[in-house]
Amino acid sequence: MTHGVIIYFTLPRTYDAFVHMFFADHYARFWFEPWDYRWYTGFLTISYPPLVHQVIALMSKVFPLKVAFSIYATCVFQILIVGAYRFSKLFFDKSVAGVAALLTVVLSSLVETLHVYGQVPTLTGLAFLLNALPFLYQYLRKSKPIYLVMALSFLSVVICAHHVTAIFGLVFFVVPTIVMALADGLPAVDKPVSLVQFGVSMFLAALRRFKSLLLFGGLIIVLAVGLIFPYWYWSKTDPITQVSIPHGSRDNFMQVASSGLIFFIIPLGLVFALLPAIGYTITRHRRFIGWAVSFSVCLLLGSGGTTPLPKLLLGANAFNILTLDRFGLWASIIAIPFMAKFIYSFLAGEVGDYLSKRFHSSGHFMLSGATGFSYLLFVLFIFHLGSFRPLQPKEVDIQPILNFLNRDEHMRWRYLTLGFGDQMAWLSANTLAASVDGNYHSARRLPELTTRPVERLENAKYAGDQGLASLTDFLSSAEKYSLKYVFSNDRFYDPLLYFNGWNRTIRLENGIMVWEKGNISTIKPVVPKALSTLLKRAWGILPVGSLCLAVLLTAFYLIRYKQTDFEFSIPDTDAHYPSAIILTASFLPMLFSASFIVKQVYELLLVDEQKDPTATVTNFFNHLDLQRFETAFYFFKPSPDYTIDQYMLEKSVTDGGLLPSYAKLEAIQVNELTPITDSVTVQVATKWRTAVGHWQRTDTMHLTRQNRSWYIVPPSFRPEIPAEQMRDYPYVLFKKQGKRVISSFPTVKDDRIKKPFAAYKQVNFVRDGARNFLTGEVINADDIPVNIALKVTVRYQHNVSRDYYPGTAFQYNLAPKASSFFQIPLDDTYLMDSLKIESVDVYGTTDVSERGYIHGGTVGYSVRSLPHNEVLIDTKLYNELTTDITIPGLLMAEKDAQGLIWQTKLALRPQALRSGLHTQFEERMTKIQGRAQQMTHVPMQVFINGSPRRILPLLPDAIATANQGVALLTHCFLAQELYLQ
Amino acid sequence: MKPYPILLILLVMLAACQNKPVERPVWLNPSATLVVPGKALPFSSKQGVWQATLLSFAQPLPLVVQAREGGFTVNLTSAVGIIEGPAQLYLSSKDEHIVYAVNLRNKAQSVVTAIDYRSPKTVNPDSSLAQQRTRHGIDLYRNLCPIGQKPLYFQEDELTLSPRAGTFRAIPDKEISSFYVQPGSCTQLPIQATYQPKTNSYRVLAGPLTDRYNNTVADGTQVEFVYTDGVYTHTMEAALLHGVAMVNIPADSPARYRLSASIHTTVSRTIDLVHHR
Repeated sequence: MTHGVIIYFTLPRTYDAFVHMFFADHYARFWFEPWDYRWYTGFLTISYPPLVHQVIALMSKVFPLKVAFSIYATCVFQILIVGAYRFSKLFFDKSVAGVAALLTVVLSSLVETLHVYGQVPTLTGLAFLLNALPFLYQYLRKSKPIYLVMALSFLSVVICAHHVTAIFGLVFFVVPTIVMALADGLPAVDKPVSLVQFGVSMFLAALRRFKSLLLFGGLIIVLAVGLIFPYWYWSKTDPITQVSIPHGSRDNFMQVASSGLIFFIIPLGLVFALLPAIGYTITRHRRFIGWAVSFSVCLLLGSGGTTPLPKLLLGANAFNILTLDRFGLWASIIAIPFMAKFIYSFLAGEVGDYLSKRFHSSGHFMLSGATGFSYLLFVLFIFHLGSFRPLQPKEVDIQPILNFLNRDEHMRWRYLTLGFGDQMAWLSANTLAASVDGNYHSARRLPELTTRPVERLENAKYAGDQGLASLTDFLSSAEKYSLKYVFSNDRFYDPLLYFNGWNRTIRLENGIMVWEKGNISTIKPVVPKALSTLLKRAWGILPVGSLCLAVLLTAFYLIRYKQTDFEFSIPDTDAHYPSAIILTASFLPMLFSASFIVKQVYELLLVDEQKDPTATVTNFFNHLDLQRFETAFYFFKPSPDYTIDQYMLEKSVTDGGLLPSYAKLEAIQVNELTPITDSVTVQVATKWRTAVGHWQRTDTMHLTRQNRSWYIVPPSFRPEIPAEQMRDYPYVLFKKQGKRVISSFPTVKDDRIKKPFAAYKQVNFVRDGARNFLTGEVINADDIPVNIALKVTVRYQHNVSRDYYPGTAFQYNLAPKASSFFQIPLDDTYLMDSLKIESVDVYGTTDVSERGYIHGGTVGYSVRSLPHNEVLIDTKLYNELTTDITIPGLLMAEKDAQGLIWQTKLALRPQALRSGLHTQFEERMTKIQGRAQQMTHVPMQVFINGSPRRILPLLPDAIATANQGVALLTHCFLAQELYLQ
Repeated sequence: MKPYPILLILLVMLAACQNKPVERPVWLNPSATLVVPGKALPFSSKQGVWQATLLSFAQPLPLVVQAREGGFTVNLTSAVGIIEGPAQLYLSSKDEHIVYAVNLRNKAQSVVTAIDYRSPKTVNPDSSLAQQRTRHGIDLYRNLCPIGQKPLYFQEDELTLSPRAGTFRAIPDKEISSFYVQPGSCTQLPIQATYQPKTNSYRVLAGPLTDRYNNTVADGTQVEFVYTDGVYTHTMEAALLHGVAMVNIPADSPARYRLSASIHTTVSRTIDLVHHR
């Protein structure tokens, strides 16, 4: 009940719950069709065992999807508790099994699996696996076919629910059960003394039970293959060939403490605390030998990359694919009976008596109460781990997004979410619109995704440079995937979107910004991967059929056999613990839980953030990075002259821009320059990650000590003050009228707006050593603003062709009669030469635009030559607009005397420029004219809107000539949403 | 016990499930062409309750059926106007469906409207003022009708539009038929500058800008003002509005600039900006 009440509220913060709901939604819509077009341009859902999703899909016909998921999770947890009880009865008596069942409810590994990870298939597999083991044990002890049938029916459900649990469950659970059953079956007189004798006896016992074992083994293999045959077929015919995605469970927990905490300490906290008791009991009896091995191996594998052993055991390939935290989970499950035995003894057995004798009954009582209370706090902490250490962004109301997708035929294009976390799967589950991204990385097949260690595009910033490179590929070559809309919940990505030609369209009611790219074709039909109808039917029928059969057989068993054949005898086990074990295992749980909670409270509330200058500066920047400005303000030296209002005012006129508004603090280094007793000057070197590259900044700060805490002395502030009181600037804004006939049908002759005119002023194929690129200039020849999409198709021999798109070196939106330089990167020289170029086609597509064509600012520059073909561009930028220039940018072109463009590059500035203010900075550029060559021998054709065009005559650029061949265009990002960009 | 009685009962039940076939009604005084609205169509029929629908190629039209002795009549008076051509008169009674092929005609011709399609919808004197026109006539019920002095169903011709910029309508009073003549590029770029002591800046005006047909150049056209102080080359952009673009250039220091404006290949004369305090 506890889990049932809480799960509905914890599931939005879990890792995987929404993914499973998406799969459930798939089956609710298309039961017998495993092809889902909504992720990755289409993938097969046979890539994951379907049972859990299909059952939730059936329940979703009655309840809402989230409620269905919660009900299902609650039911599975009940089955798991029963399973833990029955599993524990294989080891000890009913009383211990009862404690085991209660322990299952609050076991941290299970709480974490459900409420933090949302891995319901894992729990389903585990629940049915634990219920299957007693039947298997009975079968091997009593040889009655009903037990074999029951064991196989429960294991069938495991196979259909979670393949990994089925595979590893056979190794870590089924094999030890067989060993235990064989050991228990040894005649009392034959009980061996030495380990060798035991091994020989077991071998002989196995030979005696050879037929039973073979029958079970053969049938389980047939079921494992047959029940989810489409999955194996998919694995074989479409194997996973992708770069491994980093996962915290594979970290070295000594080096990455946060991963160790989440994947090892929290799930296995109680196991570690009771390890002396577990270790003692599990090694005392030969019948547990299989479990001792399983437990040890699972514990070892669960330790991830802390030691090289897991990688050696699993092999590099499996190690890099598997998430190793599940081994820790299995270790904790194996430990349940042993932990329960000690807890029972601690509360009402020999251990309790010992402690009462030694510490008096009141001491025992207090220890019990303190242990229980501290463990309860520990479990409550795990319930709310997602709140204390947010793993997901805040909950997004998806309804406005659904409304947006449903109107104006927006579903005819693909979309991408940014900064949604796993909620992107929830959005997908509620719409039929398609995304290029997805949340089940095993099914990814797009090369842009599989060649980089990126889990999802939507959280690309957490995957470092590789993640952002992958995202950039999709944003720049959006046409390739009919990607037209981006729903952004994280402004970190804004610069990347803007400088790759995306425009803001609308901010939805839920605060999500919709970005749109012009000139994108609608989704082209994708042929689903062929799968025989028989396999589709089998996928839709067998898994649910296996569950129905298990339910029916259970009812049959309970009615027919349970009453008459209820008990099975297990050998008695020693209830004695040595005093050293008793003392350590009795106190460790309380010490562990209490110290864990104390540490969390200390980290949250009691850390002295200003104990020394380095800590003060580091924590100050951390608060700024997380936009906790008020907390950051209290790091300044208290003074009546410097109030929080003053701080916020100064911040509002000096702060902003790429750093820190669109950046994440990556590293900070503080060097104390002039250490004096009570005051110090420090140099702070910070490294920031932005969507458009890394930035480094060095600041100098003065600190002073006051009342045993260090404070930052507020920097002196001299702003540029514009002379005017009010500024005015004439904008000409455009509004596209859109559809003029209110009809859901395309009205070809009445609505279609013409394709605006554009022309190429020049297009050049340039080779600079290993680099190849197309440079040029394109003009909007029309009377309305346009969005221009450029694409280069290089045709090679043997009918091979490759497409290339401009990146950030291009102004995609142009005002009437405005022009822009561009540079489109191609492949490297080795590849292009080996493929043998035949021709180059440049395609320009235009569309009416109503925003993004104001690029901002008046630029003044003078250029100075430097050695080694470098030029220094001394630039002044004046913001004459009535809005801030959030990210000042320059599009720089290197031209020769004839006006030919050799290269184009975008240079950005990290600091915003307020309205009416000036800034001055220097940029460097290495000229390539001397060494690069123009590939004039390659035939080139240019097109605008599908029609072949001629390139306009090349004209010299007098301004560039007067400035060492450098021409500049402003290309700035204006963040304020005033219908401009 | 022999199972014959059960089989017999099942046989009887099976027989009871069969419907009696309905006899096909006879159209009295049948006609290959139906005029709408027209006289009622008489049918003789001994049994059944019949429903009638007129299926033109565009839409189904339910008809009123009135029972009479020995049959029924199908009333065509409810159909006022219809798309003419081949159609089917569709009679149904329970599982019986009977179709009669007919040809539909409207009783009276309605008002014919001339539809005028233009392509391209937007022309620009910089490229071409030629426009293709396709016309056809359509009556109130969407029947294609011949139009023109030499009656044709479709007329096609090429027009050369007047270079006067503006929004025009191919069909009067029908906004959706609008086509657009845009202004072309400017031929000259006159500029002038004045010093504004209040703001210590130069106000530079470019315009009025017109194309070769004296149309005012389009709003939003980007005018680039380039001014240099001998060291720095500055570029300021402004959008044209009603043929004029205006910028304010700060006259801080140094206060002497050489300035010109340009739109694509059209460049203004160069002027000196000097102020005397």
